[in-house]
Amino acid sequence: MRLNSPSIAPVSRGSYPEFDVVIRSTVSLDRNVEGMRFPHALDDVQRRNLGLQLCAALRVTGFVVAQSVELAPSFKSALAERELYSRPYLLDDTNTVALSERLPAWATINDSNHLSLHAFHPGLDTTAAWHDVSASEDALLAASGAIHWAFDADLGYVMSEAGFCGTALAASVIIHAPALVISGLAETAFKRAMEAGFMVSGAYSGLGASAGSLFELSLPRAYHDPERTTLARLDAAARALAEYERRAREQLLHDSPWEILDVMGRALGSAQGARMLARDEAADIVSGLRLGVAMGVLAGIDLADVGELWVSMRTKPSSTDSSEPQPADNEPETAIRARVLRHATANVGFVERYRDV
Amino acid sequence: MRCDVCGSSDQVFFIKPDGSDGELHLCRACAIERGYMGDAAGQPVTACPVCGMTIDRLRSGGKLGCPSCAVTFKPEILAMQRRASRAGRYEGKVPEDRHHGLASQALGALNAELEAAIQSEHFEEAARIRDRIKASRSLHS
Repeated sequence: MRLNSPSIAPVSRGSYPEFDVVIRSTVSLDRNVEGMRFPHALDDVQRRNLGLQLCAALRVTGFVVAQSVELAPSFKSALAERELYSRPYLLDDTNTVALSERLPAWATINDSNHLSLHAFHPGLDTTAAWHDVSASEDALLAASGAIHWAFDADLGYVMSEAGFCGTALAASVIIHAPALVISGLAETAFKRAMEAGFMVSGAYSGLGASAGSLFELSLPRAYHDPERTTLARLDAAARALAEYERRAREQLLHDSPWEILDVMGRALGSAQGARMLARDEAADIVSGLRLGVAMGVLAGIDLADVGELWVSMRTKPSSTDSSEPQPADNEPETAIRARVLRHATANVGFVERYRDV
Repeated sequence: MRCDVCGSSDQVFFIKPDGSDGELHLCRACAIERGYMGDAAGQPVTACPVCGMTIDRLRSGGKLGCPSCAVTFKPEILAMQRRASRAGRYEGKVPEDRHHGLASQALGALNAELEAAIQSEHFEEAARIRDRIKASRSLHS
């Protein structure tokens, strides 16, 4: 079984705010139902009944809902690759997957809290993502009628983690900063963001230095400030980092073009020629390609399509594109990954100005 | 030394509440009544009447058992947030069913603060409060 939703679909080609540097913006809201124990304290019957109540409300609101056990393994893999759900969550057959049919929004039920609503938008657009989660929440409350959130005028929304009571807002942006990495400025730039109270992690691997020069900049849990004020702080920090990255790109291209063109050229050569690629190596190749396309040095592929390659490189490629050649039975993951990349970059090349042979 | 609350001179304890620089002097009975100590059997006095969560378990694990815990342990939670520099008036989204009362209450308080800031000629502070009022109105409109 597979579900249709904008949240699982590839990013459409088009222009998005700060898209040359910022890959996407995600906003989440957690809520708990008044009068019910928190998920870690629920027994199986209570958990199932609450799940049914929330699923019914989500269905009325325009979400397609299924239990994890009902979903095809390749679809579950795609959900994890797009970071909609964690693998441990999907491994529990009783857990619910709920995707909005209309918006790039999805919901998690009975994880840390009773309900988590999430939405993402390409580029730097936390406002649109906030609008989607907030509108989904309003629609859900209007549809159910019987659901009331646990809320206290002084504490805000009551969370299972006592310290997280408040707006229960979480937000993050994924930043592609290869020029800051090449220039050796990434550590300084992101350290400043951390000093300003943001959390920074490698967005691709989540472990230390990020493959693909992808970094996740996220808000610490927001507590009492209005959501839009909090998100504006994140936007301002992301915009400053994007500008810093752009200046680094321009400076590299001006002062030492061989250095930055080499990154793009090697990425293109590997993408078009490699026969086996490890995950992190593939992530770095896609990073070089995206840098080239974003700076107008490489042509033949859309920026949104390059971003999609990161998703398919993340684990065992689980592309749903039937036009792509299907893998042979004994083809290793590394070979599938390289083949997907060769297929995607067959028509990519340097633009006239940067061709020197 | 006498208890600050009841004036008793029996067994007065020196207590430093979370998030406060001051010190309280309380007798055993007053300390137990306010949740600073366990009772004679060593059982914590404060427990959630709905799920039975105790203040000791909250302090050690950081988790609440149910929404009623937030009412029972509100001072403790606010103290936790103060320790983490997260204290402040809640100005985020409010559920629709609580919306009107709370929004007008919060706006009323902000307007009073604005008035006080203008009267005392703290114009920078007044500008900040004005921005918060605007944000609050746009959020709730």
